[in-house]
Amino acid sequence: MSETEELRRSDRTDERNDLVNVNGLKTYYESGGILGSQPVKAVDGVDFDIERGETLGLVGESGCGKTTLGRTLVRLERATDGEVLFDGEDITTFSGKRLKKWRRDAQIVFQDPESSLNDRMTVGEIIQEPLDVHDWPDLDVDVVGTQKEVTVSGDGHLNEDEREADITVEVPGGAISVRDGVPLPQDRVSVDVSESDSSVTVTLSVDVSRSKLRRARVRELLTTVGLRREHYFRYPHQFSGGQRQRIGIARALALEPEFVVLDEPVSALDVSVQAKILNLLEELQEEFGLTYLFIAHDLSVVRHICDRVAVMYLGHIMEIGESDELFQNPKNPYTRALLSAIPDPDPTDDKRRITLRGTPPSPRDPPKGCPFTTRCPVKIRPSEYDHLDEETWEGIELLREILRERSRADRSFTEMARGVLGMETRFSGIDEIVREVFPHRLDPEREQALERAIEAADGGREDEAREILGQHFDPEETDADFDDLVDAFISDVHAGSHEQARSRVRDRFGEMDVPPEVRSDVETAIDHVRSGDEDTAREYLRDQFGSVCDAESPQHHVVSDTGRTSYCHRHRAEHEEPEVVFESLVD
Amino acid sequence: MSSQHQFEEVPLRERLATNPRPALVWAVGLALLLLVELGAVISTLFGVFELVASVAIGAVSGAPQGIGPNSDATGAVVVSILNSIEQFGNTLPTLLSRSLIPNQGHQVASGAWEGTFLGLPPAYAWFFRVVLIYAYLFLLLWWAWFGYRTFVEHYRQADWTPRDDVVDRLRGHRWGQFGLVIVVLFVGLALFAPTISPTTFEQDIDRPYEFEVEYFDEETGTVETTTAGDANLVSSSQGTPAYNTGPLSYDEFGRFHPFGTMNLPGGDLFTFMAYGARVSLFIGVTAIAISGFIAAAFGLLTAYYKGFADLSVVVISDSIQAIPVLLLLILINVVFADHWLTSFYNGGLLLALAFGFLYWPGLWRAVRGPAFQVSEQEWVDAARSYGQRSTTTMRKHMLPYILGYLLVYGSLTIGGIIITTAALSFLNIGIGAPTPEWGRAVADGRSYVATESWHIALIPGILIVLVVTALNAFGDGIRDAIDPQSQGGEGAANEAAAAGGGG
Repeated sequence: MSETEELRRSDRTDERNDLVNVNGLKTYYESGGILGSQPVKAVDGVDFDIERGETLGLVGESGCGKTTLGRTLVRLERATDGEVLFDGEDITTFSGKRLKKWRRDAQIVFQDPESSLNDRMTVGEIIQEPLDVHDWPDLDVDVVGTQKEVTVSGDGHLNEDEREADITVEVPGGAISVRDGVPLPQDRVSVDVSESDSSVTVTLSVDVSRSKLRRARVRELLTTVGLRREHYFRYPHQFSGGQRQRIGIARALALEPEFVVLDEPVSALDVSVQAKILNLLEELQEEFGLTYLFIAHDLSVVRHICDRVAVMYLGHIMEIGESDELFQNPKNPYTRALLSAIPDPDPTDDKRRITLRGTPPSPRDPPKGCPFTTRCPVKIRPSEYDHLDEETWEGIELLREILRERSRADRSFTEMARGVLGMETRFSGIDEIVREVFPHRLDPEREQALERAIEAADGGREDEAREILGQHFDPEETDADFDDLVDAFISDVHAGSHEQARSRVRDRFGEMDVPPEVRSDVETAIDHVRSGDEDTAREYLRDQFGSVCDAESPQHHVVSDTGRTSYCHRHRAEHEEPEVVFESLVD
Repeated sequence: MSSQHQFEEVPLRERLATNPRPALVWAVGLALLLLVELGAVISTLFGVFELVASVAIGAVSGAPQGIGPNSDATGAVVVSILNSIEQFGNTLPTLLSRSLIPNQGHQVASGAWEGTFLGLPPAYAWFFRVVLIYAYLFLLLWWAWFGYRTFVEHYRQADWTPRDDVVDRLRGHRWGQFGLVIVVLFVGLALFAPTISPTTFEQDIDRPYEFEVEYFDEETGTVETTTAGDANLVSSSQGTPAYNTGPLSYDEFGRFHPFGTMNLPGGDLFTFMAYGARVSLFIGVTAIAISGFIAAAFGLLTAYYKGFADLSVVVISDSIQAIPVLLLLILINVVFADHWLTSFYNGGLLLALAFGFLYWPGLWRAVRGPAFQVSEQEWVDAARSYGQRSTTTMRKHMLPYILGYLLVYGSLTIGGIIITTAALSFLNIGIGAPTPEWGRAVADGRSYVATESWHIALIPGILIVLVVTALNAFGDGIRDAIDPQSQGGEGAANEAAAAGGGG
């Protein structure tokens, strides 16, 4: 039906027709400190292609680098490394006139329509500015119907690039046709063709000024994006968010780009308006054969509009492939976790939400190996720990995560001084952490006493419970206030949460309950932390308990017939596939 | 499709052509208003040109041409041409002039006045002229406002612009309007100094012994003649009832002194104040223009390029702000004592340049925050994404948002400059005699504050306070006008442009 559809259909059979190829792209932000500190690795080596006429979705949590990636593609950020091929040319190397010329082909629509329009300018001026910058229209001329050497004089000039010429002149006869995008009536153009034996001279005269053409173009754009012509002289203040976003779209389309980065174009809008803008974007894509990179964090929007989706995490693309397929059957653990976060309106559905522990690591100090290793629910365990019970393993992972988080936190000067002086800081308290992270166990005699105390408290005999506890547990053993502990214990029992009451006492008076083969390692790490050497502790834990996920960057493995790829070690033959492990987790 | 393209845009020229009446009415009114003052307009305009040309030529050749003895030929010619045009302007008929409404005359034996306007007593004649001048000035301003209204009503294509809101808010701001009125009175005093004063600078201060004064001598019963210098000496205020001419009184020579006379060598205080206002305004505006320009340029550059550009300007401005202002000014005063720059306004121009150099860091710091905020707006990125030049981006997308700030801080800083200039004259290191400066009047009159002649120090002191307060009030008014918070929400950048105006 439309040109775009046709393009897409033909590509299925023929080879792909890529508009954009991104290879090993990295965009780092220098932190700007005087001392050379670590750069922020916003985009840390991504590869993907965008086919002509398709919409590639880019999703991920906030801060994963998707906006930076989009901005790098339109050269609002400089790439640190890698290449972005646009029609086969590496645009990261462009500069000066070449860059300016290329900017016509790639435009961006921003997220916040409040901030993306200069509200001291009228809507007309805003949309017209790109046209002014590029001195639009080119008034370039294609002369067809002759093999002779052609010269063009007058108001036009000979078309020199691949873009469609504004005016086409047929040589025998001098018939004129003006391209649709240029609001120039044919009767306002006159042409004079003089032919000699070896050459053709076409003299063109246009009796409408360029600035008039631009203004007419702006008015057409206004109607194209669903606004009215008379909005030309209004100011952005006079419009709603949805209308402002339409203005932003009109500005992006003014120069007739091939490729548009849509940076969360509907996130700032009312839900009622979102659908309208999305439909507008789809219509425009059909009409002008546009190629979109659609950045979003709203997965349902992405599913609605995108042909293919790339899932991003911490500067890496975790999974990329056909949209429907990816949503139906995610292969990568991160994609799985992300999709499970989509709220399901069906209350009977027993789909389990995967809650990831912790927060994404700092892009300034990403983990070694797989970027998702710190939070992955199906992380590969070293084979020697395969038999370890789930609780202990979780505890070890959690301890590593906590130490990692602590290394990220900024320490103020006073805190550093307190640390040096051996005083208490908000970073001390490793004992508390260990109590939280690992299960604790009492000896059988005390365990029995605990049960009796619970029974007593449950039966309303608080004094007896207090007595039992007082007999078996020495207040000197713990740094916590014993009376408070007992009070909390009793109120827990009264509230019916017996298990919490038990662990309250166990954590304080028990021994760390971990299998002997990991116990010494964990204790060594804890000793390192106690002596203030958390980095060594982290490294020690990684050496002892790390697996391939902590050591090597994964590869993109092809995971379906359509060429979807996933960035995970588990796709390697020697490991179980992520979904298998997820199933076993759920059971 | 292409046949229905419309060119709805109508250029201003055509809009004027289709409905010329309102514009014509306004233009004719403006022409009439300017025509009646043609002489004054020309002489004032070319007086400024002459000053600028002299400074420019001085900067090129190292000595002020047309003033110093060894004049460079071309420079001298340029300056003398400008000077003769200025003189020619003075000869043109001007409605509000000393010659049309004279206030200098003398009594005759009958007690009637001769030489004054319609034979009125000099006080009334002078007052009449002052009222006319200010009526003219306010009419001119109102006409400018009327022109803006005409444009909005008949010719503007937008039915609303953000400026409308600013204007609306300013119209409801009484404190700011009070400031504006006082500032207009002050500017009027400076602009019309030669006309508004009871006597002239030349006659009263510059060359008093070359002008003669006719007066009615009651002892002999005849009209006698003396020099203005001698008359000034006799009528000067020296703190005793016998030797004092207070405000709103006549002296022994039948001359009216609205603010009284000065101490030895005498002279009219109002005249001194009027010409002093010129000097203050000149210094204030020049210094603010220089420092405002530097501050805006650096503000835009540092906000657009950030990083190293910002850091280097921070270091430079810190260095400048670390200089003790008073010591530097004393130093400049000594170093440039014989320099040609000192010859303008007895050091006034030098002072203005020094202030321009010293005050830009403060202004830059005031606009740096807002400029950074604007530079973070996505429309700046958008401009980059379609290849707009950096200079155009700064001018079009950032400058409008910091101009309001510059206006606010500029008006506050002008007040500071006026005070500092006065303080320096008070300390006798600023503008030397004979160029009138308000601070010197305060300095000269301070020993008479407790005497009959209190007016010498008190009136200039009060005027300084009033003008500086008015400038602050005006600045407040502008800040509130560009602050959308005072009237309900608007764009974020407007807030950005107004949020820091509290200092």
